[in-house]
Amino acid sequence: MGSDEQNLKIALIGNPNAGKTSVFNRLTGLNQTVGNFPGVTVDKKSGTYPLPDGNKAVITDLPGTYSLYPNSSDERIVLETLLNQDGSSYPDLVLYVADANNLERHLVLLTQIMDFGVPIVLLLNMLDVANSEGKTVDENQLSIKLGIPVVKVNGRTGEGTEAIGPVILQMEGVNCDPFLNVEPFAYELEQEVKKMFGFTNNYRALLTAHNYKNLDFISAADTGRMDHLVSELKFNSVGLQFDEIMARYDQLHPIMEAMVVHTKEDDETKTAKADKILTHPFWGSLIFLATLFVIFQAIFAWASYPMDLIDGGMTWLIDAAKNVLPAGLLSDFITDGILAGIGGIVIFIPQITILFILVSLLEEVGYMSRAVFLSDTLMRKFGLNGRSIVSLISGAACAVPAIMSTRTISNWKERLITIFVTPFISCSARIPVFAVLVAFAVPDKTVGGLFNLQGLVMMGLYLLGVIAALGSAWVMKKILKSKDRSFLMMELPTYKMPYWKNISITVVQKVGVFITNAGKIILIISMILWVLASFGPGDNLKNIEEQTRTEYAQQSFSDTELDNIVAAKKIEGSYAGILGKQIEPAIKPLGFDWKIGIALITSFAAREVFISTMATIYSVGSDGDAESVMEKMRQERHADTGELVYTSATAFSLLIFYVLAMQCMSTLAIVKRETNSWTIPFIQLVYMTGLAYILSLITYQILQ
Amino acid sequence: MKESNTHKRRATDLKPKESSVILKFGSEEMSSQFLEIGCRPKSSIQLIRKGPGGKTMYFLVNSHAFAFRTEEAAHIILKY
Repeated sequence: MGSDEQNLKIALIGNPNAGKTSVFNRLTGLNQTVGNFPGVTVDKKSGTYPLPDGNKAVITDLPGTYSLYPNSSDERIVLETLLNQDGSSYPDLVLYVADANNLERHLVLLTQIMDFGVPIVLLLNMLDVANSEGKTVDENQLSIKLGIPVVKVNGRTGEGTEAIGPVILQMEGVNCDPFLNVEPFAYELEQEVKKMFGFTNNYRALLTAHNYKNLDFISAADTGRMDHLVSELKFNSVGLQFDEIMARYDQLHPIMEAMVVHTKEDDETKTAKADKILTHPFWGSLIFLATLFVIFQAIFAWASYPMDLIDGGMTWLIDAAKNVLPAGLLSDFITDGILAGIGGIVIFIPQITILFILVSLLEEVGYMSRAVFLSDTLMRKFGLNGRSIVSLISGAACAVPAIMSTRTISNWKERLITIFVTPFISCSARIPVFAVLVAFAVPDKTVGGLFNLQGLVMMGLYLLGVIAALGSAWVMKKILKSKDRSFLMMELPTYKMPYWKNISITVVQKVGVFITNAGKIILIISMILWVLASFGPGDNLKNIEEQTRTEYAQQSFSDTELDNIVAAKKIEGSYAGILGKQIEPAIKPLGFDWKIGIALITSFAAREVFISTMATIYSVGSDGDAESVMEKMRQERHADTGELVYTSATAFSLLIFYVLAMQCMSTLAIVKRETNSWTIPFIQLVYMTGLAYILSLITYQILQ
Repeated sequence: MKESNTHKRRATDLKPKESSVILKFGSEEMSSQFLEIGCRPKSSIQLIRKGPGGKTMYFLVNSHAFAFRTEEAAHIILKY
């Protein structure tokens, strides 16, 4: 074996909250990769697992689902993977994870998968919780009754997982017997579908009949033929789904009665006690607000220490590189282009890491679904869903994972509105821009003896983002029409102690995705920018340098001062300068000059580039010590009027612009991926930036 | 499932802490979704509390916790 093609393909399947991800992490550790399922937008998490015979298996963690009748795009993946027998993701074997605590329900999906005949192994998870609630499961009897191997595992401690490998080897190629005879449900149609697609399996035919409209691998012509068949044979999809699942329960119930022993009467569980407070209309809401407050406090206060360290470290590195490398174009490119760009990426790692840790901690302990329960009523007033709250909170770190997390919202209108407004929530990329500009515009003093004025303004900016998000959502709710049913219908899992290995793997992965996705763009933009700022058309820059030096030769400037004047003149004549000047008339009413113009252009790639752009613009060609950049910005004057460029009016106008404008290529790319067209990202770009322009204009004209 | 013309008692009629048993579901479309998550005819159901605003409800169904909107809970028809 060895090549990916020959490795055993294993799909890990189970209900939501079955502990699937813990088992996945236990089996594959950090040997995980995140890719895409072909043709769809859902992330495919795969990992390699060493089999006892020395070969490798590739395990894919499929999204949690309750049945093969999907309600969201996430859930549809499981159905598509199993139905498309010729697809590259079709598994050689299924590892099915079930929560022993709620076994009967968790086994419904198992019995559906068994009906495909694919080799399958049942992993009984969370027996420790079941035992503590007085339930025991006889796994040997269960295995005999179901006709498949059953392995007791504990995903959280890893107990029992060592027994999985040998069982996989035993089961390889051993198809299981169907659990339910599905032939009577729609006999004629099943036979027709089998003929049409060359299927041999009844359940595959039945599920195709139920879901053909949403299956990618079914051609338009076949869809037409299916339409005809379904109406001719009067196929009642909705009613038959109910009958089928009911039949599965009826067959499972007697098995469960014999298999699961209750040794203790139900008493009030710890979860029920905690929920008395945590889901209380008043106290629960208050605790939720406090939780949000702690999250923001963490992003601002705690992250500042590692960020200062990174900032200092990068400055040191750039200075050291300048000293070591021979002066010249290459040295400039490495220090001002590449190193400055890398600095712009790593500076975000602390904030993003802290936010991802907190968000996955809340998910891991089971609190996130309570937050959804508490906020659903409010969210619906704005055309959103309780589940939108997860995206909006994650949006404070980065809109990219936040928009990906909307996949659990099954109603298309609610999901679209969530995707559309999430980028208004101030992400961590805006923080450095806010920090610099607030420091310019707002005095560092305490008001009311308690609050720092700069901190209050920061809060205000976040609030503005939230208001813009909810306001826009409300408008969209009024405009968009949808017949899709909106629903919440959600399980509230029992509270669990966090399992740190899970959290750390999730965080490492998400931060990794951020660094590679956003990082690539930031780095490329920094390099392009350096080129634009260092070169101009023809001999322009050379001429400017000669001209300036002759012009200023008679005046008593020190060498450094003269170098800075030359650098400033050169950047004005560079490609970047030309570009900035071209958009200057459009942004002048907002109080921006052409240098800010360059930063605005580059910020459309990613907001955080603003600071590094300013750094590049003000330090390229000069002797470039990093801290003088802020000082230079402070002293910068308009060439024509001699007034300061960075007045509070400009700074506030710029702040409002950065709160509202759509300035992130990664977000636009992810929205395109999630909505499958450029229409929504285009509207988003025009709407958000238009709103930013108008409000900045008003701000500047009032404050000026 | 036979229909009756008498007043149907629904999960939304429960008072906090009050328990009952699910008889059937009022909407065919939603019934399989209820089934999938483990709410089915003969399941015990108890209203624990309403969420802020009163439009969401916290139920225990067969001792497992669920959140439903009132519109959804209205489709759960009770035995008594």
